[in-house]
Amino acid sequence: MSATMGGAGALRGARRGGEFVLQVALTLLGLLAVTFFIGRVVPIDPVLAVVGDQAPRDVYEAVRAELGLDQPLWMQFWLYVQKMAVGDFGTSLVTNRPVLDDIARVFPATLELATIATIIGVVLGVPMGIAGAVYQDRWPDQLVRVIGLVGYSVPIFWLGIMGLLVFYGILGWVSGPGRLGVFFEGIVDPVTGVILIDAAIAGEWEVFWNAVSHVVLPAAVLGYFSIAYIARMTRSFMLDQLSQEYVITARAKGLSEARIIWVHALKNISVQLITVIALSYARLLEGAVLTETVFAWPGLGRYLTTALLAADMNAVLGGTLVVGAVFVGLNLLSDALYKLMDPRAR
Amino acid sequence: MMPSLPKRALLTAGGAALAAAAMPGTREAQAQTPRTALVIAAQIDDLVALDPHHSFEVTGSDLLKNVYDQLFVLDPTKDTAELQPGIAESFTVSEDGKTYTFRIRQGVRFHSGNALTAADVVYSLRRPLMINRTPAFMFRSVGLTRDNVEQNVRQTGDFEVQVTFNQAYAPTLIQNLFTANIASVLDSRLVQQNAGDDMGNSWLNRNSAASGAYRLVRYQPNESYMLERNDQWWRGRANLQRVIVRHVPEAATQRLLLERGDVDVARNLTPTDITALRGRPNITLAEFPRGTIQYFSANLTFPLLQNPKVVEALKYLVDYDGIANNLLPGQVFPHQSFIPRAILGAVDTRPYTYDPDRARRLLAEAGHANGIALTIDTANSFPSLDVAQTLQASMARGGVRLEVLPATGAQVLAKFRARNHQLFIGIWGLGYPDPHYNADSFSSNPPGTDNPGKLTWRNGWDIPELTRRTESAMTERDQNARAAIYRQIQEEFMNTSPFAIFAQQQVQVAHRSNLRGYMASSPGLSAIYWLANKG
Repeated sequence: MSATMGGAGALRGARRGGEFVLQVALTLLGLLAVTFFIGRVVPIDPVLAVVGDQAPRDVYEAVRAELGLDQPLWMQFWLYVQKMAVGDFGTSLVTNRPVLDDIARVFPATLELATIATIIGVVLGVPMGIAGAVYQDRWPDQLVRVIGLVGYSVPIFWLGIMGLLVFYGILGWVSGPGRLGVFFEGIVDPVTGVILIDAAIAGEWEVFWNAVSHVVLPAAVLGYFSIAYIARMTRSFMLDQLSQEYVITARAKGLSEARIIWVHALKNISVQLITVIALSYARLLEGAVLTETVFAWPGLGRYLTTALLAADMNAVLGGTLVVGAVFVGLNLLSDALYKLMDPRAR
Repeated sequence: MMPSLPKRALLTAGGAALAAAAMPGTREAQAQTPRTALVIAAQIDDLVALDPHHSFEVTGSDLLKNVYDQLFVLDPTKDTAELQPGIAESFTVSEDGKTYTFRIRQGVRFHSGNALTAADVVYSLRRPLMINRTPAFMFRSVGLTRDNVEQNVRQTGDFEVQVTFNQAYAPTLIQNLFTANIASVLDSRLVQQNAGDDMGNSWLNRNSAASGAYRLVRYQPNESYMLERNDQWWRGRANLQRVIVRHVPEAATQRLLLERGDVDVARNLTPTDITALRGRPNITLAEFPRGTIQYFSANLTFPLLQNPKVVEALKYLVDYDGIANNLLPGQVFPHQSFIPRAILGAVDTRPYTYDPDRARRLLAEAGHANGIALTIDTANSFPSLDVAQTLQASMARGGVRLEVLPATGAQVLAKFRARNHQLFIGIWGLGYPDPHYNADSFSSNPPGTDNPGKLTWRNGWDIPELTRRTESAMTERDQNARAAIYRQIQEEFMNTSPFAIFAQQQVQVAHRSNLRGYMASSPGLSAIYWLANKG
């Protein structure tokens, strides 16, 4: 081998890339396998979900064969993976449509909600956590703690209903459930599936603002729960930093308190914070069943739940794969951000 | 392709409603749905199939009956099931009673503009057996099969179709069957243009090929569907131009939408919501009987339940009035036989009352003076679970210790079909508006075969004589004599069966008071949109 140094580097890079792809593929395959076999042992008969309770035996048997359920289990899984490899995720039993089409509809709805909720969570949660740490055991800290405690203890379902009652039912500040008013549906052709973006692309500002007034409340409700989590974590990271020696040194040198906190300390906790934010974002991207139910929001959470209850395995597996991919993707993203933020990680 | 509306028309049609919420933070005017539209909040996530020869649930029927025409119709304006001509204008029956000749209505056009002819009817009557989805069993129950349907359903003129059955069935049975979605007449040319290798089954689950009151404009599973008026409908134009049904899973949310005036109808409210809305200005409550009954049954393959006295005791331990008046007020009314009220042959007698003392005596006679313990399987959802808990309390007073085993609907059903239950709480919907549909499952159990589709078999109820009588009722050509047979069967059923039927469901809705003529359910087992109007 007479590879140059650069060549060796590239080779190493390629190998690392290859290992990485393999790792991701294996992770997702493992996830699929576990989901698949769990799905096959639950005592729910997917055939009945298709043919109904009153179907005679021959129809039942025909559909069972159609779904491939008469094959041995490993064979079923193998066939499924083969199809999946060429992008065929099968058809949902419940909606009678390709699972990919379904997910292309429900995931953007969840993405929209989760993203706005996370932005709310970060924009409010981080400063609140910092305030809690800086004014430890004084009233700002107590206030943040109470807000956090409420966020942890109030059922989201109840908060959603109350929010609707007050802000939609009584005050009329926001639009009601759903993603759009019924008369705005179908005006904008889906490009990304995220209505806010699609409406902006199409220049349909009426539709855009209608969508905004629909998303505000559910995102705020979900965001509130993010705030509680992010604020609590930020506070404890910050407390940890404020007792470090460099802070004492900086104070002794006469740096302003604001600069110490918002520049030096925040920079040092940013890596941990990214992990926390990524985790809470990922959790929201799985879909929030209760919130989606209260707000009639057609997202991934409710889609997966409906599918699970009907033993609609194609839909469950497709949805699980999306959730898995989201986690892997966010892990990658936070790894990349670590490297940007923390020279030691390079 | 599904025809789509001009997009701008939507915006202008909205009128007042569209002035709403232009900016977040601005206060909406008290919202009003447009005068020309009917907007409904409902739970529609159980809507599986839009192909009328594939669909088999009420939610689907609500849509399909307003989009497709069938050969016959049950008059929606009458309380009892009264047959009316539909696409079949009239019919004659041959001497031997097996061959029906249907005259097809002329001048009917499909939404596509194609003229409806006998060829479409023939195609539509053969197709259910060809695609062999769940409802196909309805046609098989009158002797039509995949193999014989080519010969037995024939075009005998431009507007004449002949159907030959394997027996001389009761004409009322055939007509009732031909009011069901399975007898929807499809635009055969349009279907064939779009058919893959499945006779258009997957295409029809997203689109429509129909001639009815409304045409399907948009359908998003688990979200909403929208119908647009068919101005050329042969019965005359519907009152309202557009119908929008939106999936709103949570009852409390439906109620808020209704109170704000963003929807005209809230379809799935709880008794609590209904109570809260009672007496509100601008809101009207309405009830519509539907052909669904609630029952619990005892598995006779379980030794303890083989003593008829034990089963009889159980029937006296149901708080019939309590369930109807306190537990499910407005959602059900008391009913004790398997043919729902308003269907041919239904009986209104209610031989059983809540009588714990009598039940104790019966149990003592059966050798269980110290009471018995049983389990009851139920879906973990409203109303079955709630009824199970009520039963637990009412049975305890008669010496029956009941353990409630809740599970998901699908799990419970699997257990029931495998005969692994002791008691089971169930809900049974009428598939087409004829007594035979229910009799086939409640009073017929052909010996020597496993019939997991039949409730009789699932409960191990062996009834050769009742099975024979149920079959004779199918072929009784005189309507009154036929009704009499069913009344007799039900009499015996109530006395001896392992079933305790305790209620018939009704749909209870709340709607805005300016809406009139909307029917959430009808004798034809579906919602009717075409009679609705706004004052």
